[in-house]
Amino acid sequence: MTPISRRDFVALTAAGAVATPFALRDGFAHASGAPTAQDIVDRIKKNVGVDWSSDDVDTFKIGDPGTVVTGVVTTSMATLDVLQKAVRAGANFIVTAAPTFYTRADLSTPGGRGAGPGGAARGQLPARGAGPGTATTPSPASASGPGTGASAPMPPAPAMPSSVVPPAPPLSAATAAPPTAPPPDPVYAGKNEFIAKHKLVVFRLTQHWNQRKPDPRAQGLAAAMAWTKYQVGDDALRYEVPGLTLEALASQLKKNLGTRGGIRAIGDRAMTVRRIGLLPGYTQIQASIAMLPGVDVVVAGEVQEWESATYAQDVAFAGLKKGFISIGRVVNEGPGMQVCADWLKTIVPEVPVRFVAAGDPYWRPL
Amino acid sequence: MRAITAGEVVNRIKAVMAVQGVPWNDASTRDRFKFGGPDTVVTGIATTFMGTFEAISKASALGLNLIIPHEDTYWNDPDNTVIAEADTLVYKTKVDFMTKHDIAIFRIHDHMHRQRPDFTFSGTAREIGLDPLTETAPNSHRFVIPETTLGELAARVKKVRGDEAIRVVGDPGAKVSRIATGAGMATPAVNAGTVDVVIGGEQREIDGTFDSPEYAMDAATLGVPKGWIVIGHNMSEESGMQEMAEWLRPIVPEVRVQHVRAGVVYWAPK
Repeated sequence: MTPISRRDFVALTAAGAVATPFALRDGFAHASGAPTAQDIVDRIKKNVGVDWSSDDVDTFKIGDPGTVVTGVVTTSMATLDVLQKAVRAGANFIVTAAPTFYTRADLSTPGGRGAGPGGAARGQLPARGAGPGTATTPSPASASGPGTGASAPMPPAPAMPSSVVPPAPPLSAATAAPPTAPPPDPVYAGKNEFIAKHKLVVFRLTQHWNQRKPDPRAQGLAAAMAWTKYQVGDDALRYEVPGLTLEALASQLKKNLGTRGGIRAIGDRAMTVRRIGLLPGYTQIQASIAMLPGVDVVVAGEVQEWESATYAQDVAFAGLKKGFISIGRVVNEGPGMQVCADWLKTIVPEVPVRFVAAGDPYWRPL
Repeated sequence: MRAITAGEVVNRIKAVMAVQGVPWNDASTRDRFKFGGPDTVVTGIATTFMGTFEAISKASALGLNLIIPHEDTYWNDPDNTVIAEADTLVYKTKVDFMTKHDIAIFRIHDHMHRQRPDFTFSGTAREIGLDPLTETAPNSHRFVIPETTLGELAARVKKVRGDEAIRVVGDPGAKVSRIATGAGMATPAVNAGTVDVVIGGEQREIDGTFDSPEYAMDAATLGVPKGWIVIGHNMSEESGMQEMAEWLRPIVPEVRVQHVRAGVVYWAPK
């Protein structure tokens, strides 16, 4: 096995694009005994410590599971940029927390421009607020049409029963295209082309991974923030840190997590915070209500504005010294997939395993 | 002028909506009283994006006791008070305030989105500086502007709108001219072939209807001009509540009708 030096890791995660060809030569040298992507997934299922369910989320998304793996990259989200970095580093198997093809259904071809992409009309709950007799499966591209409930807050996308998810259609545009074929989507096409050219295999690992105790996203976030030593008892969601202002905390998160514009905060910037509670991933209001009273500040992944954000706004308006920070879902998955890379190294010793961050999707205008 | 009750105001709203082609749907669980009731004597009306404590307090200080929010009051869309009652920090304070100040809250969401124009869209277009004459067709929510870059467009939106927590995905240098606007969660996906930029409210970052952030990131990598300007749910719908106030004013001439902002949600760290 090729040990990944700290420097290599920093280069890959911070600078991002630095290839380490020499380290990977070693990986190829061991290739005769290298596992296939399917072998690695079998090891994941066996060792993850969570009963493997037959959901449709943690599955292969594209590529041949029988491919012999030259290197593994874990990532928060398999963007094309991450795939390019993986290839430059000699890896061909990507394990991602977020979808690859822009929907939970993760189909590698769009559902057609007019009908909305991928899973939009397949198994999603209808837009809430639609009145009787109105369309309930609006195209995302025209979701503002009459009777769609417009700004209707939507519930979290349900786990789709496998029965409603058709198998991924073949890549051939000829078979996937409706009679009046719209022009091919250049983004899907470009991503598919890159994946095919480099014979990449992508597997999504999120439902099972995030059920591990402690929550890998919390564990990884604490490590990235150097909070591990401040953990409260055995609760990986709570930390008691030396006091700092809410603004300083938000700035530190922004810096340590390598984000740009995605971090947003609610509450008095100048208040001192010590007790930090983490709500990794996507969180509904009940969890915020349960956590905020016992801490000074909640650091959440993603929340809805009409739920936790408004709650925190009300709390702050009432003059209570409580803060709420949203770091973003993709950013939040990063530290968890870093932990995943460290864990995978222990069960896949034959090839290099490393984490590549998808980064913060958001920037802020000047 | 004789006193008017919240119930009378609501009946007029329902009647005018019906005349304007939006018959009232009693099955809507959103558009109903959330606090107080029809017998409350109305001293004035405040429209606002959400029934925040801030909006209610500001309205009350202005002498307005009938609050008409577009979104919820109890931090969940169905306004299920059982969820809110679990909170020990502010729920009781908020309810006590509403009781003490004789507040009534009647939400208008579903019906407002059926009106044409849908004020949440027209109000936002107005406020982010999109000329109605550049809308491709009435209520299309599509605009064609002279070509600019995503970075310039986003800076303009931020400047006009004034909030600092606006987020953008995509290549700042991407050349864009075709805009689709979204209100709240009805923010269209960014992948339509006829759209360069979506300016909208709120969407799930991943595992939503369509993961526009990832799509815009990949488009940037491929050099496909695509932008995703997320101004926030509040920012994308608050403006329309000013239009709603103007719509209400002639319907309820007995009392003052005023738009009150629900407050800025997020700030962004340096």
